[in-house]
Amino acid sequence: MENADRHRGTRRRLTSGAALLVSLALMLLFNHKLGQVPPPGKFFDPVHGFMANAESSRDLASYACALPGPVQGNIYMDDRLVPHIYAKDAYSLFYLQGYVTAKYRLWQMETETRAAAGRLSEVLGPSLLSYDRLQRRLGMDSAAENALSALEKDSLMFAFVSAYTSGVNAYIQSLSYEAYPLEYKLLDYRPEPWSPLKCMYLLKYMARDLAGFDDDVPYTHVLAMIGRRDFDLLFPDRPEGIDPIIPTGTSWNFSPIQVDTASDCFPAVPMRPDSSMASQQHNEKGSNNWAVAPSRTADGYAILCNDPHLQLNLPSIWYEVQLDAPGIHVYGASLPGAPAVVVGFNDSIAWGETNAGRDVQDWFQMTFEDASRQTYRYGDSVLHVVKKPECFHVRGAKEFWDTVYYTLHGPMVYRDFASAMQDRADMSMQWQALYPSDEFRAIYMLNVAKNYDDYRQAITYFECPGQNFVFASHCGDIAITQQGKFPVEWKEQGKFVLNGNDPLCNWQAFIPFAENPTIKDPERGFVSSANQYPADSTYPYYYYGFDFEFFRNHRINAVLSQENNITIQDMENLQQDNFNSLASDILPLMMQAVAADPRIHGDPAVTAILDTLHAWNYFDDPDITAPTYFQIWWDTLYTTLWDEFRKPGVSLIRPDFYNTMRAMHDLPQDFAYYDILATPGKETLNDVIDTAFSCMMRIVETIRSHDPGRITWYAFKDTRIMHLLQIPVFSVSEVHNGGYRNIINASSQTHGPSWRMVVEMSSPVKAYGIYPGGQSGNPGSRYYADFIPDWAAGKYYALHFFATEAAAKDASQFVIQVNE
Amino acid sequence: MNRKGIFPLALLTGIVACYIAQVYLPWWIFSVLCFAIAILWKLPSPKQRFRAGFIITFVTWLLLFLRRKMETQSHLDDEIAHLFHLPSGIVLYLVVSAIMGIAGGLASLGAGILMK
Repeated sequence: MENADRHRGTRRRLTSGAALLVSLALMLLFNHKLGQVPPPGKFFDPVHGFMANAESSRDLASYACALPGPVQGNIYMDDRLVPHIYAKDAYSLFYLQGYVTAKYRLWQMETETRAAAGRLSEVLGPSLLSYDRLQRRLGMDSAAENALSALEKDSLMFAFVSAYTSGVNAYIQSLSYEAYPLEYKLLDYRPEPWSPLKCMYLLKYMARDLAGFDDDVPYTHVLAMIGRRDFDLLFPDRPEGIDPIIPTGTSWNFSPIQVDTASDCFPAVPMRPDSSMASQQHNEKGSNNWAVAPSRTADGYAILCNDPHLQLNLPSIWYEVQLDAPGIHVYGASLPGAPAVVVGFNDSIAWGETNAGRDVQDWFQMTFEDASRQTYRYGDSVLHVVKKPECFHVRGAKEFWDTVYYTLHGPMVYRDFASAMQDRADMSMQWQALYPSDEFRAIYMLNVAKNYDDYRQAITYFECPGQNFVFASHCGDIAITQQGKFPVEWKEQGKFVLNGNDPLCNWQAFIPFAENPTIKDPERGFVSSANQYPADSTYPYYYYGFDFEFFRNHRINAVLSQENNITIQDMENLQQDNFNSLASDILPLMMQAVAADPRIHGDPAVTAILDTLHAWNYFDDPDITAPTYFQIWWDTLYTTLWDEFRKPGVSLIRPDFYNTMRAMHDLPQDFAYYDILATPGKETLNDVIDTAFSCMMRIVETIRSHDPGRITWYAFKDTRIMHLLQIPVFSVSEVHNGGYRNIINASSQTHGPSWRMVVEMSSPVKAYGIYPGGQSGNPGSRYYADFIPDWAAGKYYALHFFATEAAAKDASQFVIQVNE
Repeated sequence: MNRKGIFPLALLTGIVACYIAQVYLPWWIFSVLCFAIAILWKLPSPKQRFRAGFIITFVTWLLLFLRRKMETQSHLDDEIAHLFHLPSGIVLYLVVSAIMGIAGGLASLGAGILMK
């Protein structure tokens, strides 16, 4: 009996012990990431886990707080969660800007700077290693360090960036797991401290986005493939019919710097496999800006408009803010991670930017002394390649070491980089973004500028990425300047791959800033830019751009030239303009070609589509079908027309849309490249148009049979605003809007007007703006994507630029106080 | 006290203690409490102990979730549920609470090691 009891007791203890062990094991297991699943215990904890990021949609006042800090000021949050920051001095102001931006956008700030620094694999694992390696090989870390060294020499800017950094860090230090932004919990890592270097990475992230492209290699291949005559026909340096930023006929009152021209400057480049394929059209990115003189406006004040077209993401690239301290009183869109306002206005001036698109990234083919590729001849000297080791702390994998080789031009980006661009294995890259510059000073000086002279002075500090800075003032001045540090180049220097061993192929001098294209108060009463050519062929310097745009600027200039008594509403309408200039020019020719084809007559489906296209007014409005038919037809035609320029594994480029359009109008029907390679016959232009039309009919039929609703323009185009991690539930898709690339309302699938702003320089200033996102970066907040429906519908918000702190306080939903 | 009344009392005190502790302490505190409750109330059978730990944890986690959900009126739980291929936040938390319930039940069951 006693034995049986003892036996039962032992069995119970064993069972209990086992249960306890399993329970402990589960606790340990649930505290760690399980594959792609975040640590279940921490993440699903209903109090401190992701549910802590679910924000109440009521009771905003509960977010009010008073914090101790090294500075003094108040942040008044308005009804759209825009902070109006009032501080006792500029240092406090930027501290508070850093604090409040981090409060709403910390994960985005860190992620963008990690992306620029090639450090994403540290938190996202081995799948990001190739991306990271490319960033380091492009020299992004050296670029940020160079920019930081320039900043350190500018004590005022360094103090402001340091203040911003302290503000961000004060917020980070206040965080417990419960308050971490959602993405940190989802991916299971913790925020790292901010630093001035991270602000520099953000700047370089923008430089990479806006001036980190070129077509040197594809152009070199295409030139070798089709010869000079056809190349100049299809890829002209200065095509006819362009409408440059500085109006044609403007005179230039300076003598340009002369540089020596190289002979034997374009080396042959072997066509080796290039996994990237053709680097086609970067023109998803772009922007519009313009300013109208008081003489042309209804209220007699200058009006300035800007809408930068960037990749549409959540959290949005922009963060709206008002900054106020002695000497600074400004409102506009800031970049999370950088102090001050990037596009905005104060009481005296307004400014905005579009991308210059000038080529400041050149590739040099290097010939080495021997097979070890350690030394190369440069003029009369023999120089050594410099090696820079790069270490990658990859999450969930072993540490990875890479070596980046530098010549005097810059990094050999693709040397021993098996994954891509083998034809660039012996090339080094020279890129303006890698040199020290002090863009923050330019931005700060614009924030505090009072007049035209201040604006001109401010932008001289802006070197890369080159931008078209538009300007308007309360005094009634308007101006535009293409600003950036651009090399003086001989004809076609940098358009093709250059001889890296010849000093005359190197950049020899830079265009003085005073000689960059600029114009003030032109006779026509407006200035504008939409990423087109900056000046006509009389501009004394050779320049080349990888992606000048042709259509939006024509439309903007045509509308602005016709209108008088311009109102803010007119300018909002123009930013929403869906007129498709490409279609208006080329569709009649395409319709004519199809009308002549007897094979398609009598088919009711064909007749219906042709009737729709005939009746179309060329506006890409959201709820119609004609833009869908045109776009499918055009895309198919374009691809079929230039099939010669697509070869598997070779980096080539096709003529852009404008030159394609011109070729279709001007070149003979049987132009050699119109032929379709895949068929035995010899096709003419009309044959290709017919083929593309039939293809379009088939595609339309397929779409209709699967999902008839998708044929409507907005659904077909499917503008998406994706979360930075591409998580669908945190993204918005099938946004109900019109427009497309090459249209003023440049809303394509992935890119679009990322911040629309219209400012009338009256007193007080009247300003309206909107961006496709929300002020909070938290997917659990109702302020995460709340602007998107209004943005899609073409609405604007009145921007509350409070004149006094009392007014900001009265209008605020809640206040964040910081006291010394 | 009537031994039959112990089980509901153990549940009630467990749920109250766990509900409060989860707000202030780390997520794993429920397992410590489930262990302690089983000992304090001297829950006699292994089945009762496991059941108590399971119910305490399941109910507490679900209640805390529902409270947060009602307070915020947020759909974040539904979005997260979709990430894990589940139809809604409620279903997600039924699953999560059940899994945590098993862990709580095992902790409670393990209390037998200290019982005579």
